Amino acid sequence: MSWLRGFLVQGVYWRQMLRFGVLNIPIWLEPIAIATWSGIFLLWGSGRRGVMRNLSAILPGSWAVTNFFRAYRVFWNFAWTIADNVRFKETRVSPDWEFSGMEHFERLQAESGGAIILTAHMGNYDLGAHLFAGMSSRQIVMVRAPEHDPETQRYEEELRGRTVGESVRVGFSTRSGEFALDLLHSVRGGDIIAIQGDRAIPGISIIPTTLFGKRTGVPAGPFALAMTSGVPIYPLFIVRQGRRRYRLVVREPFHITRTKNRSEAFERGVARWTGHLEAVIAETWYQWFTFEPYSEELA
Amino acid sequence: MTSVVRRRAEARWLPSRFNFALFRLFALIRLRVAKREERQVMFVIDRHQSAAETYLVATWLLATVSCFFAAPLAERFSTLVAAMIAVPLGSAALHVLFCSVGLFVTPAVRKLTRMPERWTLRFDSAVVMLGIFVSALYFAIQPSWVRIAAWQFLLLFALNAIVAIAFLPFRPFLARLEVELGGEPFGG
Repeated sequence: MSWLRGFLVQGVYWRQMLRFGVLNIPIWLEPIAIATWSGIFLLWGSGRRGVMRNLSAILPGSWAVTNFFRAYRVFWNFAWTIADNVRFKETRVSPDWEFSGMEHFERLQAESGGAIILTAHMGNYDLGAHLFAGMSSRQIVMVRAPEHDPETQRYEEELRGRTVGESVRVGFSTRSGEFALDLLHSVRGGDIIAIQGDRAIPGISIIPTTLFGKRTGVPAGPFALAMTSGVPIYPLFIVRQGRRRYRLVVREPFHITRTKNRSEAFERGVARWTGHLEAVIAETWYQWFTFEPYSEELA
Repeated sequence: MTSVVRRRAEARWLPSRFNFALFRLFALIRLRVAKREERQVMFVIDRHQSAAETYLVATWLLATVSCFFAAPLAERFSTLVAAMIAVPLGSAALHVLFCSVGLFVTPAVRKLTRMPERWTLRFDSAVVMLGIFVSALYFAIQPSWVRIAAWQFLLLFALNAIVAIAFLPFRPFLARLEVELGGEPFGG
């Protein structure tokens, strides 16, 4: 009965159906398909509840019934985002882009050494990396969490191998110390490392912080990497503005300076990051794709 | 590889960013009256790039197909109840249509004719539109009010076809517009 695993919410069949949809559904009927499937995925209880609990912290005093409909909006945005991603990989059709903080983006492209892009589970992380690769000659290394389902992981790796260009490399955040050394070597060699810094997967070391007044943890990796290598961290967000339209938001870079008190240096960096993160999530809560409660206080 | 226009916000009205001829005509008029607008933007030149067009066409087609279901339902239920049942039925019917075309019709045609894979989506779209067109022809000759829904679909379909034919000689002109606005290849 292992084939039934493919139908779990993070199973491989949904990814295959998404690919079928992108390649076969007339584009002028896509909104109907996306609206329907967003509604169907709203039946995914734990994901829906996770989004609703996070919304209750982001929008204090909000009603559960309103957050139910807001959760639909999150699912709707997520569906468009993953469809845009598959479309880009399969047909190289990119969305339109607007830029906010262009001066920081240009500075990032002009960095003589490496840099770290710290981003969040919102908008379209993959498309952002490809946009950067298209506008720059630099190699970008995307760090991401492995898929829960091994079959899905194999499928995604196969798709990525077939469709992703040479200027984008993908690495998976695991406990492996070897991978951390690889990243350090890459960033010292002048590569740009893109990491999602808004939630940590189990087994990854974290730095405790608060987000919207609730205790949580962000991955320690990007901050440790920035301190060890001395490269700047660029907070960067890919915000979905509408159908096939995204905004690249780049904030002022910062360094994690090595001092006698390491934890204090980390705390300062994390506070700066969570400040940007809170501001962006508060404005665009409908596309923060975090389907589990981000804090134990919300569980 | 796609083409893009950078820093020219009025490029959003490039007719080649629209799919249906009626929308292309509207975009052409809009582009002719638009002022030069420099902003930090990058617009992709792809015929399905317009959100307004996609949402309008999707809503129009769902409304039309829902009417095909609502008419017989309205004979048994109140109009409101019939409409409430017809919309999900219309959506389900469209799902059945595009899924069966994508799963069975197109693969069979590709096998028989060696149609290139890159034509798949255009072929699927043509067959699905043909399916809705044939349904509209059937409902256009029915005695109930559903024929109004069918006729408006057929009229808009015909109007779009006329404009598409009228646009044919202007293809080089549309391509020149892209160059004028600074269209360039983008290999992201």
